[in-house]
Amino acid sequence: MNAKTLALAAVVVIIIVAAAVLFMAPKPTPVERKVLKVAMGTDIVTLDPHDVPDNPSIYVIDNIYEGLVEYDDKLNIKPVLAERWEISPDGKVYTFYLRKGVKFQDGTPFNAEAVKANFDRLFNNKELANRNRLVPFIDKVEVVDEYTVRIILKEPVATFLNLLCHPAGMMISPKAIKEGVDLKHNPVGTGPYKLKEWKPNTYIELEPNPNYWGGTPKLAGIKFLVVPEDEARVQMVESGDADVAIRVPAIDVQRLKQNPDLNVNVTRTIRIVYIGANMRSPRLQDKRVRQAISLAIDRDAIVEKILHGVGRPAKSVIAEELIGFYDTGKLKYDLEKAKQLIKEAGAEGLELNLWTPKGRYPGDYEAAQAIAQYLEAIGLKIKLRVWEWGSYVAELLKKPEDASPERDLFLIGWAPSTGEYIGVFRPLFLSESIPKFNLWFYSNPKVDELIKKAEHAPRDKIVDYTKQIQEILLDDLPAIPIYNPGDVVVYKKDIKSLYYIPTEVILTKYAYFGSGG
Amino acid sequence: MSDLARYVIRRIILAIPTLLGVSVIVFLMIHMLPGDPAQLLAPPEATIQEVEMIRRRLGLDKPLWEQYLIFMSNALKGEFGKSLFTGHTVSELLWPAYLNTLTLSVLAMGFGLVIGVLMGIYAALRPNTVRDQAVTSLSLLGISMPVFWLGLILIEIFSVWLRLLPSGGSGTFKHLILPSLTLGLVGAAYVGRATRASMLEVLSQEYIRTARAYGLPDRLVIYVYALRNALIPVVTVAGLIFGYMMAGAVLTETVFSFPGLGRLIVNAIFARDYPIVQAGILVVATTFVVINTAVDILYAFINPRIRLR
Repeated sequence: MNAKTLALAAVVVIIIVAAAVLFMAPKPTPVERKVLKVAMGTDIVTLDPHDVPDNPSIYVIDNIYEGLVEYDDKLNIKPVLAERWEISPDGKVYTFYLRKGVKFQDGTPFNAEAVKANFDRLFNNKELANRNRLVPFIDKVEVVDEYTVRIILKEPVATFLNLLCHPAGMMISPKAIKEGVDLKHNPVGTGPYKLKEWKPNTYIELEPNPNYWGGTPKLAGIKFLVVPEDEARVQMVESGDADVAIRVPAIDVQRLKQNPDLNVNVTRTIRIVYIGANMRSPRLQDKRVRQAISLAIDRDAIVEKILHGVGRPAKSVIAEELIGFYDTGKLKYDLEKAKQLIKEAGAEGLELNLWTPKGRYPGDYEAAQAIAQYLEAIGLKIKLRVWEWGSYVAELLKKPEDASPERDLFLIGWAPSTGEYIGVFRPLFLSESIPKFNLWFYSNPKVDELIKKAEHAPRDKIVDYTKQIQEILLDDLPAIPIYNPGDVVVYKKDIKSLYYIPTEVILTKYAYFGSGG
Repeated sequence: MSDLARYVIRRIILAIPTLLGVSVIVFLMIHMLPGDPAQLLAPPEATIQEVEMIRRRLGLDKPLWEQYLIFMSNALKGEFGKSLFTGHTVSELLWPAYLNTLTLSVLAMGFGLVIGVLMGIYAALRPNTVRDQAVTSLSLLGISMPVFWLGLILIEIFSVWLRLLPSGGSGTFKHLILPSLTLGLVGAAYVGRATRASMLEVLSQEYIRTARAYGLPDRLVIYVYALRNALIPVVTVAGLIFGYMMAGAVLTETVFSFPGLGRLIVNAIFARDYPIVQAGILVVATTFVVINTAVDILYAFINPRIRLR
């Protein structure tokens, strides 16, 4: 064997070993770029963030548009198009320092002028459904320089940054606004995905925005499929026709947890389901009757038996996650005290109507049935009526003088889409919200005053006021809080960074497919 | 054939007052329903003035008769307006949904007729035996079974377990198989019962006995002499079922997330999306009229004894 053959042999051996090592070495897990398919219950209504009335539209809009700030899954505020901000000591001036190098999907640069153009749109276009989330609080918006913008409030609002997390605070291309583009169907934002196709009642498909400032999006696209039937959504994920199913029935949770390919995410929402009490009904004038009703309801049993554990018993008129929440300890189950109160009020045998929608909130009709039984147990006579949603809304939103004399108790849910306390107290309990969502016709000057103080209080003083508000409301009980429903999202195990915001919104823009973990 | 042509024209002219009546009734009914699209469209926090503004924007503040005239004059031009909610034109929503449902119904009708007629004949040939009772019970089951339940079972078997067919959606032929089978099986149950009954009646008639007495092969007697006459009532049933499929496949469409006409209209009713409801029901009514006329004409072809009047 000469040196030449030896060298050749050595080379061959090295190549073989190298090849073997290369092949056998664990490959770095590749990030697959696939389309994320999300099964949701209803079609969207619009892609205009300033005009959006429903949650499904927000699922989609969140991928296309961005605001100065946004909520994370714990309702903390994080910077997006604003890199940082300063708040003046009096709480009235917010100075935002904007992210540089951001372009809208039509190529228009994002800058302070763009921010101003968006607020101008909210100010000038009175038909925009969501202008009231921001406009009433703002005095003016000033461009300081190209990347600095100043928002001056009429009065300090401690949760102003929270309000900006709402789609109403999202930034639309000023060019699109100026040219009068049909923004309902042709969105132009700065987000990681842009609209590919909206096929009504079928799907909405998004494609990556290659010029996204945060780098190339991790998915090949997102397709929101309209799948109205609850069980069909579940089956689509089980069969692999969809990757994510939203609003899965609670009854399926235990079974789906057995499936090794799926993640079952039971999440909290900030929705409270109430039994409203018409304060103008002659049958509900005595506070003790309303208190007895509240004490007669076993909230734990409703959550366990009807919601299958997906949710929590309500502790107050607002959810525990919200700033300003205070547990008065008044919402408890005490049958004896309830009976005693009914006796004191002389309300034995009192006939009351209980209205409910069916299928609007998890467990709504079933809970109303249970509540009817609880109330019969303390000697009331309950007439249960189920309403179709459209008719229900029309009836409940009537002026007090036009409202049906039959309106006593009615089940209704509320979740503030701004994710903060003003979004509950103001529409639900302020006198001036009659005849809007103050459906119980509750008017208490003391509460009005406290709500307005709470709105403008500095952050560390908010609870001082909201505590008093909650003490009064849970004593007066115009709205009897019952439960705080959870939400169930089921998705494939290999999907990462899929978030659920407690404002009942699924956040898909950070999601990607990856193995392991 | 000129008789036939005249007949068809007369039927079409007769259809016009029917459809006009339908349009008035639907218009009044949907507007009389409690519920207000402006309220459903506005976010909960909107003020009364804002809701009023939305109402004006949608043209719902005008008196009812004026709204109807606007609707009809546009409809005659083939314009049905826009969805109050998504702003899509009604035509762009309606036609794809209509075509989807039409495809689905035709396929389902195919399943229904083939399975139903075969089952009916099979049962009728040996009346009151075990196999007749088996078929009768099966078709009773088919009629009584909730269609959405059947759909969910089929999804469980073919999509979740076997992973052969998509569990829902639309776009390819594969997407049509399960929904049309679901819809078709229910149709088959009705067709089967109708076929059995009418086949039994025909088989007991004298001309069949005569044919048999002549020693004609059983196959010829049943499939040519008997079936042709037995099918007349079946055509009526089939026409009715087809009409219901076009209008009432909403449960099947919902289970299979199939973007069809029934779902479109029902969703629109719940949302009080007036233009879609009005146009949708008008289209369904037109389809019904067309199918009925077609059935009447089909009679003549199947049985020459039926003369056109």
